[in-house]
Amino acid sequence: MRSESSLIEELYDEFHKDVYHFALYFTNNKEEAEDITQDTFIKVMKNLYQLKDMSKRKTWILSIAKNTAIDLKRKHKLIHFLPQVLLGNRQQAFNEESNETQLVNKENWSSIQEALLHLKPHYRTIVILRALKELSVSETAGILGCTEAKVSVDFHRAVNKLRKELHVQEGWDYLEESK
Amino acid sequence: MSKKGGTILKSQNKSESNYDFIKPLAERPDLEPDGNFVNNLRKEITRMKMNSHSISLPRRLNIVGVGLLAIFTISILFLSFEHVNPSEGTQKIEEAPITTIHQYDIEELLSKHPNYNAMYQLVLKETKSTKAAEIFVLYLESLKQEDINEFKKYSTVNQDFKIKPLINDYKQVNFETLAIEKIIWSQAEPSIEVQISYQRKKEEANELRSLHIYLNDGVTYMNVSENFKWDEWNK
Repeated sequence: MRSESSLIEELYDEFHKDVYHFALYFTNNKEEAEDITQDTFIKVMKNLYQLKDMSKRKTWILSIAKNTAIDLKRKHKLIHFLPQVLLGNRQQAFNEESNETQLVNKENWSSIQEALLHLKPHYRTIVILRALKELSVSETAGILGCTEAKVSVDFHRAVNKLRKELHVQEGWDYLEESK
Repeated sequence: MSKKGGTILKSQNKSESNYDFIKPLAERPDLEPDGNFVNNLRKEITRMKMNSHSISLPRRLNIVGVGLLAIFTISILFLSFEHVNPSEGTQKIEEAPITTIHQYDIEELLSKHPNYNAMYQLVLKETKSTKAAEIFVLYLESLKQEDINEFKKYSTVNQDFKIKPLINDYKQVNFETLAIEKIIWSQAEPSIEVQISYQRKKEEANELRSLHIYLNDGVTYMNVSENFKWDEWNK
């Protein structure tokens, strides 16, 4: 039987990228994504004894990552002493840095990422899990703690909101496309 | 089916299946985590796991139980053969960490401190969870007793360098003045924000701060966090 310390290392090796990807999509901020990844695996380590079914390890870890990300964003909202201007500048600086590194792909992902950030956390999570991490409806429902039907309906709504957001920003006329 | 209804259905089916426009995001250039960060976090996790402080509560209780049993057995053996001073055996039992558990007897805390009891009842009434009400009181009590290890059982914060300034801040708080002002449910997840008021020692002005009780992290455990100006304390 493997020890707890080797199990946590195995889980880390297997899922650290998934957690980081989720956090980066959720925040669009490298530092925050690293904070969320770190906090997630510390929580995983502290509560490893609760993981009874190894087949659900991925949904278990991503559910912790999801809640950690939501917590972090909420805490940031409540930090009154840090002016919003600074936060805005920080985000802008990060975006500029990303844009400088890959100007070519900017239109392909940057606008979508920006639109994703405008979705409420629940919808954003569903889009990340279903469309970007390609998790099944069942896995997504497990992470969100809701029914598969709700995941399907909310994913549909989230995609539509994202589509509308991009339509406003970029002038993409999906309505015309669908005719 | 009407023509309008058919159009809506067709539109829905299309949007449900067609989300390829999101896919370019999966190819954003900075998607991979920094190598140094990945390696450092892996080392940190391994180090923390090796550290006895990070052992989970049930396992820690098992270890304490086995330790107590061993001490008890050895004491009995030594006493029966009269090879040691009986007071030494007694001393060993007294050194066992079980005293820590008695320091956090929730019933005793609630009966001795009416404001703890009032806060406990309010959290219980709002969440219908005795565990949530308990960890909220024990979180505060661990800060009062300046007990880092106990604090880690209830808090989302588990780094000593963050806990110490928080404890220092709470040293100035008059715990008898703690009271809940407001409880707000989160819209995003099963958690509540508890706004508490208190006075600092030798001061009469009321201050407010927000604590969050996470009722379910998707895996049944609960803990507490609060907004604290870590940067200001570390300066």
